[in-house]
Amino acid sequence: MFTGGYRGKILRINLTNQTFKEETLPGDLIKNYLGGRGIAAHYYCHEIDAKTEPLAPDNKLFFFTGPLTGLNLPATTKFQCATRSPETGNYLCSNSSGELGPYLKRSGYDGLIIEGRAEKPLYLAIDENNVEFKNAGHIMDLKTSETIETITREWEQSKLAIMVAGPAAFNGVRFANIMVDDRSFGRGGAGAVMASKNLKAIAVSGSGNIPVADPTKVKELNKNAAREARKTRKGHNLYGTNQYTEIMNELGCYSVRNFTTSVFEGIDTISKDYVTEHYKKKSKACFHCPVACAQFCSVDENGYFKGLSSDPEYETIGTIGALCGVSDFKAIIAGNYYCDEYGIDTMSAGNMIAYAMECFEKGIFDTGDTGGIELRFGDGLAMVEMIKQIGEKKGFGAILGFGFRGLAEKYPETVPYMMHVKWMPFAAYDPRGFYGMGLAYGTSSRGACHNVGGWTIRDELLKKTYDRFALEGKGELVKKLQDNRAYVDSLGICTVVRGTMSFSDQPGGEALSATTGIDLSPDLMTIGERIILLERLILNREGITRADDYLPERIMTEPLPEGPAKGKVLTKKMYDIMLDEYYRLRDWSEDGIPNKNALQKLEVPTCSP
Amino acid sequence: MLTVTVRYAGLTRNKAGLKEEKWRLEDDSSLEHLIDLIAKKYNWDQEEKKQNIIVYNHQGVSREEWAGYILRDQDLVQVLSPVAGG
Repeated sequence: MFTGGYRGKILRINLTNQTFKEETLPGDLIKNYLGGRGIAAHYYCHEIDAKTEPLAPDNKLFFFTGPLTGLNLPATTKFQCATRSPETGNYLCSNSSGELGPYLKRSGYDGLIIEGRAEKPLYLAIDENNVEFKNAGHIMDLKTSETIETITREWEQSKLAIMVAGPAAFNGVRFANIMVDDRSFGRGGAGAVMASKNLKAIAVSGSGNIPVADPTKVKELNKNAAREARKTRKGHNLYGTNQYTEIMNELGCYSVRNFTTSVFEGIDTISKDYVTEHYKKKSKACFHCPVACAQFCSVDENGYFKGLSSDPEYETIGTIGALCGVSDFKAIIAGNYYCDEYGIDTMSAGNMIAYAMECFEKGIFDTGDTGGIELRFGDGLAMVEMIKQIGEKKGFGAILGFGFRGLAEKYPETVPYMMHVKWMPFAAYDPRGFYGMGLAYGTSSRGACHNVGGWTIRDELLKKTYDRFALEGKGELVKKLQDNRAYVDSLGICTVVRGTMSFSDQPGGEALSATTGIDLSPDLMTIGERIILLERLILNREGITRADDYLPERIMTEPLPEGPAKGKVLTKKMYDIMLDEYYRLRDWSEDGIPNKNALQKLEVPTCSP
Repeated sequence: MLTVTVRYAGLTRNKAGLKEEKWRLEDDSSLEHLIDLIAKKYNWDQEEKKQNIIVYNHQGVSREEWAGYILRDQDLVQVLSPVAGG
């Protein structure tokens, strides 16, 4: 019996009928899936039909916290969303920081399920056992920060967190995000699902206490973990994830000009030291985080972007920056600013624009397509203009807003320039520089993702057995990283600090047992494995098989032209060695379908059609 | 004598105050010897000695292997600060 960490209740809201009800969070779900990503996947599996269209009323949004969300431990800010993605057409899991997860928990709920479609635009105000369906007519056209300001002013609650679908979502952009305070459920288009339900925002207030089994122990663990986090994550505080930009470039695996190369000549003006000296104003922290890795930057210089501010991190800099050949950091700050205000995933936006730039330079698109814009690599103004057009559904941006899946039908000749797996655009790493990252992109539950797929880089540099250009052993590495990440995503903490609480692939910390009263540590990797299995069953049900686990043609046929990884390519034959090992270790068939043994071992029932 | 190029990236670049430098070493010097010299020159603490990442001719080398690598003229050694997260 769990004595802490959970509130034991789920709030289910039907927008069609404007009704809500509380449901009990079953104990066996906690035991099998822990929370967050795992439990969200369970509900998705049971409530989303294989034929459900992403933007139809019968798609749902499943938001789930984890047992550590909102607690007095480092960076307990995370909560998860599952839905059917309008960008990829398949299952999506996504996580966000911000304060809404902790507030949901304080309000008395472990999870929130949104279903149906409202007749008229509305927003939800959730406050400890009560839900109000409020008219959103007056805020429909507002950008995300204006929406948050308006709701905060109107609702007059002192303890309040808000998540918002921005104008891009209501303009049908397939990769529109949900902004959560100033963080986001970034990837896959959960914002577009929210908008399809006529739901502009969800505001949550709550001040209830979250029970923990051993408050004294939790306090002690927090003190130690926070001290450790401040000591070992100093680089994150000083420079954020941008500290990795020059490292990836140095190793020749950076995302440059739509992955036509992997070293960037403009590296000096987007790297940490230049950015810190010229644009950084302060480090910002998420909920209860001792690290504060967000780097708040603004443009003071006269010019097009004066006065704009945002906090670009590694992936954003790598996608709307280097991937578009843009080295003007002012343009990156501006692009990030407009993505946040319109509610757009920066990573997909960067990929879409980089793809369009390559097609323009190859003469496939011309100024007739782009509304007169010379869409060339390196043009920061053009990149920012495209983001604004995507957000406003205007000009060529209205086309790019359909994402790769939509554009493949309209422009089939451009498919070779779409860098994606399962229609999810790449993160800012070229897998020809780290073969393990290729397998991570290929087998991630949501398409080409470095987080869900597995951040292989550290192991590929530190352990000879995982040498970055080796093939054997990568199946084992990626499986281990994915299982680890799946349980961490179900706990409710940020991955940056997980090591300070021993949430590694050999979990051994006391934070979870001090919180819940039960020592789940020995089971955590198995829980992670079970979550990955469940997600694969969902994907199989939606038609995903081995054929969908491959990388784009460019990665498999074009050797890198320069830099430390010059000549490297990840051919299909090479990739198959890694993929076969991965399937074997997961006990999946050659087609990527889990075998009966895997289901029995992990006690996962099949996903009904 | 041999000459090795050492490039720094991440926090090690800040500590060294430069991107790249040449090291002239006795023949048959090991990678471990070079890292000891670098650590001494730039006052690495124990944590840095433990966590910094060494890439030898584009291949990652774990700490326990440093002694086994004998440097050759024109080798490239990259010294990177730790990476974690994503």
